[in-house]
Amino acid sequence: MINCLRLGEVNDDIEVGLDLNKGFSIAEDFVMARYYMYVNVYFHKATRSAELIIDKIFERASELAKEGKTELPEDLHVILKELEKDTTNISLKDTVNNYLNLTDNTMWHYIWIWSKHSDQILSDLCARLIYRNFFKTVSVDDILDFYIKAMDYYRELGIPDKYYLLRDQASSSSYKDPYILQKTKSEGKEEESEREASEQIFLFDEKGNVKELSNISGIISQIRNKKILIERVFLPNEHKTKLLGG
Amino acid sequence: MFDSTYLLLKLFNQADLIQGRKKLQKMVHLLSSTGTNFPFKFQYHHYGPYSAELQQEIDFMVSYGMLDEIKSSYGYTYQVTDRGREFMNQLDSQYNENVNQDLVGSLNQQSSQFLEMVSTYAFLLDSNYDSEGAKKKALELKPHLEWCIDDAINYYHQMIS
Repeated sequence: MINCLRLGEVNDDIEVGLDLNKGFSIAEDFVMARYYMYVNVYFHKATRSAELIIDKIFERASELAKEGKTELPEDLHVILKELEKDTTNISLKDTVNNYLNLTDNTMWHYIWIWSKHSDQILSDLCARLIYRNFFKTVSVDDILDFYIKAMDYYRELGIPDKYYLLRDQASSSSYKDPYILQKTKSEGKEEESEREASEQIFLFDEKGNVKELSNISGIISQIRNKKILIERVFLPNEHKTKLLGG
Repeated sequence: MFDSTYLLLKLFNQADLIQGRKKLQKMVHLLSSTGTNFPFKFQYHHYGPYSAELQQEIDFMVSYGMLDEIKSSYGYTYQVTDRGREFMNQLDSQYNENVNQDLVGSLNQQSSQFLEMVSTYAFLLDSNYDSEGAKKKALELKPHLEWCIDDAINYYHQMIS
């Protein structure tokens, strides 16, 4: 792909693209590979369940740390303090070393320790991650009705549902691909404002004329024009069983 | 789980009808600037600040019958449905948030182009431009909206900041 890179002009702007002849099939393969990675790996329900649990672990730990009931890794503590000061003007220079220090080893160490914590929510979430007891997806006809029912259930249990009833949308993950994950409607005056939010892959012929990949590739246009959005609701299996009656 | 849905329902319940996706994007961006707890991240695009997550949430709400999306030659119009209101009421016990009703009313009366300029100015201020710098950059980004830059800045300082 690198050998096929070209510069060309698109609407009076210089853009980076690919050579139309040499790069067309390479670009198709590239986009398709990314598409399969998202659907089968990044957005696999076990992967997403684990990632959501990790989010909730640190949300709970941060909450407890503010109350003085647990300690965070020192580098994470520094970063969060900076974020609290001014989220629009974080000094990257000051926190980049802290960020780099937060290795997998540090995180797993704390997750292990927290799995023995006296806070039941924190210890439970950490244990689920360690022993791969992930949340399960639920498939219902009416998610809105289900949520109301689930809210009442968690209220009766005395558990905050924000840690156990999790809604996942593909774009909420840290993997974002505006080329294949954005919905683009191709009709109406607002087409441009939709398309502006998506990246475009340009291909230039020998005269410098530009084509956009999804306009000349049938398979890529199918991916781009069909919305890829994986929406799921996750909750612990034992709660799912109680709510759905087996 | 539905905190952003709830806030959007509050917005639509107050606004009744919002004409245009661009306008909706700018309204939510400006409400966020005043501290309304929308979780959407905005990035600068051709028409100003835009959140793909917001559009995704709107699509979700339409697909689950909480919003009506009416398409015309002028674009898209959004209106909350009875189902949406019902769900919002059911969530009242769970979420204790609201939108600034007066501001929603005021924003909804403005044109989408005007809000585009206000929102762009707000975005530039959030990106650490000072007032003069933000005005200059906004004019550079949107020369076709020069006619409303001063009013947009006044509106921002009166209603948003």
